[in-house]
Amino acid sequence: MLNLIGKRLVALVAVLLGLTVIVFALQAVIPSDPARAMVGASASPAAVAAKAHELGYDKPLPTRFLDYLGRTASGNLQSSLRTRNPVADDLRTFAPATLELALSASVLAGVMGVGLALALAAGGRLARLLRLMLVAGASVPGFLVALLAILVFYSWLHVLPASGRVSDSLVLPDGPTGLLLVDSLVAGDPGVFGSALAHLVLPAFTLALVPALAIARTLATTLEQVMREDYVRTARAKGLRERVILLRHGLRNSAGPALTMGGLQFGLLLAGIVVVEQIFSWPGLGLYLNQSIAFSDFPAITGTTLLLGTAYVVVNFLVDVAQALADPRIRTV
Amino acid sequence: MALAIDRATGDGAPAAPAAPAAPTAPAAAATGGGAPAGALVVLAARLGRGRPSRNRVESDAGAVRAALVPVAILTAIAVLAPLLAPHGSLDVTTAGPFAKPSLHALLGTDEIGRDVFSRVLYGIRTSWLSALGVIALGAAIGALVGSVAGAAGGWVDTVLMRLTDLFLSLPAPVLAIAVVASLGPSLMHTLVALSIVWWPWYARIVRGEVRALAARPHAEAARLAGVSRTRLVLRHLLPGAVAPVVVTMSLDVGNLILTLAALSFIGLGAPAPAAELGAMSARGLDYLFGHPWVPLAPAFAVALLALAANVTGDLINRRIDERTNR
Amino acid sequence: MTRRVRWISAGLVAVAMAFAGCGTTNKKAAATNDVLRIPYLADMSVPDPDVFYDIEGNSVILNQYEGLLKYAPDSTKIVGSLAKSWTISADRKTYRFELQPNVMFHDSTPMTSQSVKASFLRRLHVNSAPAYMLMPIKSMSTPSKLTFIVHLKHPVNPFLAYMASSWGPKVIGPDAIKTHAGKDFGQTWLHTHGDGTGPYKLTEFSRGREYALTRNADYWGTKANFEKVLIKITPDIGTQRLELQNGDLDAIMKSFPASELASLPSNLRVIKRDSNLRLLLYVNTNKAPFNNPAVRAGLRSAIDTKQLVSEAYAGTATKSVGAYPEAILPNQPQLPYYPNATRAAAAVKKASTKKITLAYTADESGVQRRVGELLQASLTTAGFDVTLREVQLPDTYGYVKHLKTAPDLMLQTNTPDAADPDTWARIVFYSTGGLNFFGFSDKRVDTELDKAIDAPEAAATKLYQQVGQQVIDSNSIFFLGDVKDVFVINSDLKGVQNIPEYPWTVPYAPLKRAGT
Repeated sequence: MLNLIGKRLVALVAVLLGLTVIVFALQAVIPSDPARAMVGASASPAAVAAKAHELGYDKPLPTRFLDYLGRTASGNLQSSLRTRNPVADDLRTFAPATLELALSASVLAGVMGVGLALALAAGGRLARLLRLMLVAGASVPGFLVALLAILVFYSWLHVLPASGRVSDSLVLPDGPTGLLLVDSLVAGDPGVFGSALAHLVLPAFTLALVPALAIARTLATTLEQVMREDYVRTARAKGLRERVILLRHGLRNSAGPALTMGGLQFGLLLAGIVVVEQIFSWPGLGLYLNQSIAFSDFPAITGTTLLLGTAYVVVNFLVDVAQALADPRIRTV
Repeated sequence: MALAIDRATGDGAPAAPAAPAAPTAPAAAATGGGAPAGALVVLAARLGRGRPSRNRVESDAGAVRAALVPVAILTAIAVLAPLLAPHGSLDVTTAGPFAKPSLHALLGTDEIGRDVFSRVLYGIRTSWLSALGVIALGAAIGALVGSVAGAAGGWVDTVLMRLTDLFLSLPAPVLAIAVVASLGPSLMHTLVALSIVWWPWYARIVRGEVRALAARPHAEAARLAGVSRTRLVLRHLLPGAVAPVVVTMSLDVGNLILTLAALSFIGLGAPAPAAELGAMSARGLDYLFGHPWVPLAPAFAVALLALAANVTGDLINRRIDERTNR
Repeated sequence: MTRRVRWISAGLVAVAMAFAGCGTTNKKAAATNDVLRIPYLADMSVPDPDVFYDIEGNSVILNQYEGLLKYAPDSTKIVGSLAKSWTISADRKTYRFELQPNVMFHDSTPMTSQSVKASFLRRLHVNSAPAYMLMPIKSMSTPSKLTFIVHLKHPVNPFLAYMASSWGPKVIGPDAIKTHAGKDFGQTWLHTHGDGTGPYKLTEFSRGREYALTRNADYWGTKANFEKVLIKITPDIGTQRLELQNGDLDAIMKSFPASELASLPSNLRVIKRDSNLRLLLYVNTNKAPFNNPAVRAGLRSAIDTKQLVSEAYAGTATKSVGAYPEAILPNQPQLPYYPNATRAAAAVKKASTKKITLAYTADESGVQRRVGELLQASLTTAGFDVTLREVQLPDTYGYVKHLKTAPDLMLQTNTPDAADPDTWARIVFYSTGGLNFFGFSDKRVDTELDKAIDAPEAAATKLYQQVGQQVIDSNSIFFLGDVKDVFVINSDLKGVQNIPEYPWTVPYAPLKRAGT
């Protein structure tokens, strides 16, 4: 067991190193001149050269990579050209919103996915219709889904807000996590909790739509197989009701692949935030990345990529280990 | 959402591949994303344990043919777009900007007076061919890496597959954004960036098939007969990997079109004035309320392409299952 | 099973809706006359007046800080702000400003001539882009608490215009700067705080979310009507529009798609006013084919500016008439732009290469892309093979270093720093100008501009007109359109004042809701 975790840890480090190499390579091929960008367009060539020397851009590539690795490991991601703050500080500002959105969307995707899978497993016309609707929904460009969702639930029905994390008239608790749902509970503030939840619904749903479908389909297929297993037949023979069997035996024994699919989907979810945060004015990393792209702010772009990439790699590592812990068959793989 | 590299994932996902041992999971492959390889192998293996019921298989045979019809129509449109379109994709018509849909301009005109119907036809061509291009390139790189690894075995296999795993473990869509943002938006950059992140799956699939086939008696026989290694791979092993690769490719088309659309939305897609469906829809979004046909017509075309690709991919997948299970 | 799932989801939806309900109540309760909500499409760079040099963010600076002078609404007339009156010496090198008495900074310290001097010095020390306006200063003196004197090295005609510019020197509380000086003259502190004298104080700066301006109860002038102004980062114009229609926003100040103005509901009002923003087409004269003047002349004949502007801007811009914004220079030489297909085609035949790249800068409203696409169509008709390329504004500053690989043509929208011909000519026409992207260089233009800056007014005006004519004749920059400020506001919002020199922004203090 420990051996397995050790192996996966080594792989994790290798992958993170690979990620750093790629991000560094991106920085190296960028056609712009970061030193000039920092000192300003009207600066003298001497000033640019001095800045380039200070930043180490005049050193050979391998040396620069080692410098970069050292700096990154110590949490220094240079300064944003736009906000003029250290990128690491900016990421700290924007990360909680994205974390809250990504977690909520993951939970929602799980719930929707399992619900749909059970509906599909139970069969029926309604389930097919539901599936068709989801497939159709997932075939439309995401930005359109988001905007139409705002049009329906905000503009027409007036039931959900369109933008932001929380109503701007509320005083936010200065919480320990930066996650409004958690912080408001800690502070005992139902107003903020309700508002934060209402603001989460549309963006989380838009983000969860595709992963939910993926999870549902994985789960439905595994369920179908599990329900043909011998122990299920035994349970049937014992006279247990189909619903109980499905829940007790089916779901438990088919959770693994769905969990893995969930981990995979997390990467897509992270990329999806760039679009979702833009439309729902969600003050997170996606918004930060998008603004940085529009400003050619490369320290910020690469810093965000590094953070999102690391999050993805770590989440999948955890899924992997959790799976191995839960299912003894995997340990031999 | 729309970094929809996976939109369709959903669809292709769970269709069960047959050979239990081979990591041919087109299921997971459709994610276009990466995953810790070990877990995927397990996923593939577990998914593979099932057998589709006989009734389902028989009804699907007809369904595959039915599902191929829209794909055939769309491909025909893509190829024949220049003949079918009443106007060129860049021609500014006399109807002026924002003309309402009418007999004269079936889907109206866009913000500078180009015929939307014609642009959608050309857009189907661009998007369809772009998606196919990325997939073909990804599959080609993947096939090369996979077959070399599978045929060579030993340390070559180990090195190549560890490299593949590394790429699989990275968040492909996020990297694609970073690559395009760094190189600057152009259709070529976008396609290259996507191809770079798209190949590892194919490498895995091909390698798995090649390894599995290499152990089969006919490959053994060929080897004993003194067939050269290259020839063995090309003639006897690689053809066996074609089916799962095709399945994965068909499932990927929808994903790619939606990914291009999402990149366009954040300003990193096909640059203007290219008639690319995602870009047209993303750029037309400003006119959604006053002139809804401008963004909606290409969006529906995207949905149509994605849907056709997904459904067909799904059914082909089952069909191949059925064949291998027989 | 399925039933249970349905029940659970129904329950979840109900809970969410209930919460949404109470969220909405909160919002409506607050959306009284006390809070004004304005969206920004993107975060501003930094709310530090000595660093900030963009357009989006102007309203945060201008409602919080004041300079010595400002422009009057709907005109280019300079009026006093923190300076009550001012006199200029006969040699035009000494400016004496008499300051408003009883002005307090937001931290309740008094504003004096010493504060003005400290602020000017800080701008010079920070030495960021807008510092150039103070470079000609030789010395400053403060003979009394309310008298501030500036001695210039040489006469500078636009000096008063600099003082009134939206990027001109602002007076920042010296105590706050001293307390938070750090190693960068308080720049880090000013990333999220402020200390001005204006009608609003910056009370929150949450990047990516919102900036809050709160009414300054001790303001020396007419106090603001709204208790609070919330600037909300709402990056999607579609979302902005729906929120405006629903009353969750009060006004959209920029990038509203012109073609959609006609489809607005009746509770919204459109205000179109002049601004000094101009649409320009820069020509790269350093490489083929546009290094050939004959080909450039053909380019001129190939463009129908009137049609281009009216189609792309749908009534939110007009065809330019001169090389300078109309309001800032009288009797300008007129633009001789007459479309002529035959002449265009004939000139294009002389081009050594027909393949050209047309760049446009990315903007949220997509208007430059529209111009680019239309221009591409007409240049294609003329015989060019045009590739369109979208570029980000910061990248364009690097072109001047790589002229051979830079695009052949580039569209940009720019505004002069102040309503003075020099602040336009010096950045766009001068060989080393900051907005002279393709390094247009004409020795005569440089000499004349250097002469004009300290020449007597009549002579200077003549020189600027002359320079304008030379630039027009060079066909290296085409002046396409004068862009209007378009505000889409809730009909019940009154008191909108437009200042052409301060695009995308209005003074918030006079705004109020009808009936209050």
